[in-house]
Amino acid sequence: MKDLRVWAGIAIVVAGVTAFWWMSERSIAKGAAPDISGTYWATEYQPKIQPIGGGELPLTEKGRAAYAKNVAGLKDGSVEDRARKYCTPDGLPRALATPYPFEIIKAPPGQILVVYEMNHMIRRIAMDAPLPSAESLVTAPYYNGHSVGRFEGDTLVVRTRGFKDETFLDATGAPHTDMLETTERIRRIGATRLEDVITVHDPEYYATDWQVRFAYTQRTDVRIEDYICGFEHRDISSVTRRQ
Amino acid sequence: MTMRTLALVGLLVASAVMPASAHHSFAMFDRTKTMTLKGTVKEFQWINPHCWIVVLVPSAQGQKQWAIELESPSGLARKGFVPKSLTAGMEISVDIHPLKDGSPGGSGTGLSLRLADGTVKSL
Amino acid sequence: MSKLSRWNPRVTILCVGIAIGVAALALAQTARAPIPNFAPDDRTSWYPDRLDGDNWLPPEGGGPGPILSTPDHPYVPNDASDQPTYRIADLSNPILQPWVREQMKRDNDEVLAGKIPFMARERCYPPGMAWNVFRRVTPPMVFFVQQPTFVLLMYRGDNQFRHVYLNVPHSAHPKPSWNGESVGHYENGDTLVVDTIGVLVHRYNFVDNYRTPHTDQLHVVERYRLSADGKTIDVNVRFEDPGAFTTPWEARQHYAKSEEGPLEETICAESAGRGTDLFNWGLTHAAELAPMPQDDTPDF
Repeated sequence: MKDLRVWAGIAIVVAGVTAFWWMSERSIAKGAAPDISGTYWATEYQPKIQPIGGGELPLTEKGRAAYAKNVAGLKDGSVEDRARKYCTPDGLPRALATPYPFEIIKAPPGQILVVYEMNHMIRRIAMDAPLPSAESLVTAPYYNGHSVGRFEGDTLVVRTRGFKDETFLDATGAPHTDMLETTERIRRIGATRLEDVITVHDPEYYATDWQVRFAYTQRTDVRIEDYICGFEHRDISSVTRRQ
Repeated sequence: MTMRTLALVGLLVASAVMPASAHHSFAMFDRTKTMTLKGTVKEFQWINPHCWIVVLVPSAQGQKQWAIELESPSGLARKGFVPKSLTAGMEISVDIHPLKDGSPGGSGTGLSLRLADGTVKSL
Repeated sequence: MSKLSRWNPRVTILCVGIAIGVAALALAQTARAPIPNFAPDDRTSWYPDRLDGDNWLPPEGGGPGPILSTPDHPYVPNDASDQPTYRIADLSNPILQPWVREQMKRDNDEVLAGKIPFMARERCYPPGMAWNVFRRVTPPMVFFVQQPTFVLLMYRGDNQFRHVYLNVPHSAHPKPSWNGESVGHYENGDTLVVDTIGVLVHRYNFVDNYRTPHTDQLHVVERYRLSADGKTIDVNVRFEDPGAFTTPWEARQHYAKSEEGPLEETICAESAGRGTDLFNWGLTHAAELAPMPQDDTPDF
């Protein structure tokens, strides 16, 4: 009898292991991608974009002239920072520097959404779709560009082009053209952290491609709030301002 | 299909690319009048729901800024326009239905624009 | 010894255990209650399939219902005629508290005198509890993004969105916000129920396009019922606000499915400070337009 109870116990354990194995097999069979969904919030903010490796932005002569024009214009009011004044979308990579939370949602099938509290932006990433040609996007540019994505192992790779040229790369007015293209590599780094390394490609203004890294903490205690331009917004004092 | 139905269908299609209410498009412009503006492009705004040309027109008091409402970006794209079709400093001549109240503005939709090299573009 | 006589009870128990484990799993999978699928793919969206789809429909079977136009000033949308009209609210509707009737009469009088009425979608404000009559134009328009713990509702128009958190109670004291705090659950396998409180009181936050205001007591229950063929959504909305209304009232909306999708980036504030703002529309109009939201002292 004791013998049978022992075997019954072993049977229950085997049943549990079998169930777990079957579930994992089904997940793998479905081709489950890494789960990067959730709400994230940066812990620091830098108004001036910092390329990986440090130093200044690799501006061409045209790029330097455009930057100088933006800086002077922002100072004397002849150039508007519409993302701050009218809360139009920041564009990339400036939107990635947001000191407000954002949320990654993997639904419905065929897309990943990134929903930003700041300026109530929604970025749609068309999954496993071809990137439209630059020519086809000239008459329909987006502030945040048109994005396509695919998973490479644990990393979501997002390519974007077709940007409106009225945004800046950062809060200082770093310029870009409507031929800007970006590539982001987004992945979890640890249980509660996410990084987004973005490559900027805009040969008319930047002599070489360059990269910048953003990192965020996942927050299960935060809900995305309504955001209306000029209204009171959430307390962002927890986000340390560098510079 | 009656003309009224055709017009209704056309308006429905147009409304697909005009997310904001367009009450003003019908009531604000004097469609019985057409005038021609000659001036310098200050800005060509490629925005929804309407694209705009801001033109500086010489007047007795110097230069006057006129704002001309056009179709949506997708409507203009179908007519061969792109965001950089007009750039600051270009000399143009454009026909408009002016604002009824005499303010410096009007609608160019359905009319024509002429570039300095003589090219005529339908709006 | 025969094969039968070599039967091993331990092996049998093991096999039975495995079988029970697999069967329990299968049962658990199938026992999950079905929910309506408003978004089988990223191309599916919903839109009010009538020219005046930015007006509420009255409740089926009668009863207290939404504000609509006076018979002598019917609402004619842009696309129905080249002589469209602005809305003049029918103030004989008994749902209005006296102060609301007075406020809306002032609004009516201004429009009759030639002033342009406020509409949230034209001045780049979020819809608030006029969510289901925010925009009426052709698809793609309203999107549902269903996750296990929430549903995200999105509008293509101005990329407005709101979250509905599933199977959780309201906060004890939600901080008032433009679209309120929404919690919800599924019913009958075909209906999403959304319960909203904490809607911010503001001079531009209304429950419809007739500029019908509300107080901080507003409580809204929306029911989105997906048809059996998955091609339409019947929306029933119950508004309760003793501060603004003499009685709870109901309104309906009807959506048709579109597969024109997916969500596009369309930004109302793209025209802020541009476009029609350039006209100034002469002295008679410049001061009329509600200012678009603007931030002259950004937070960072």
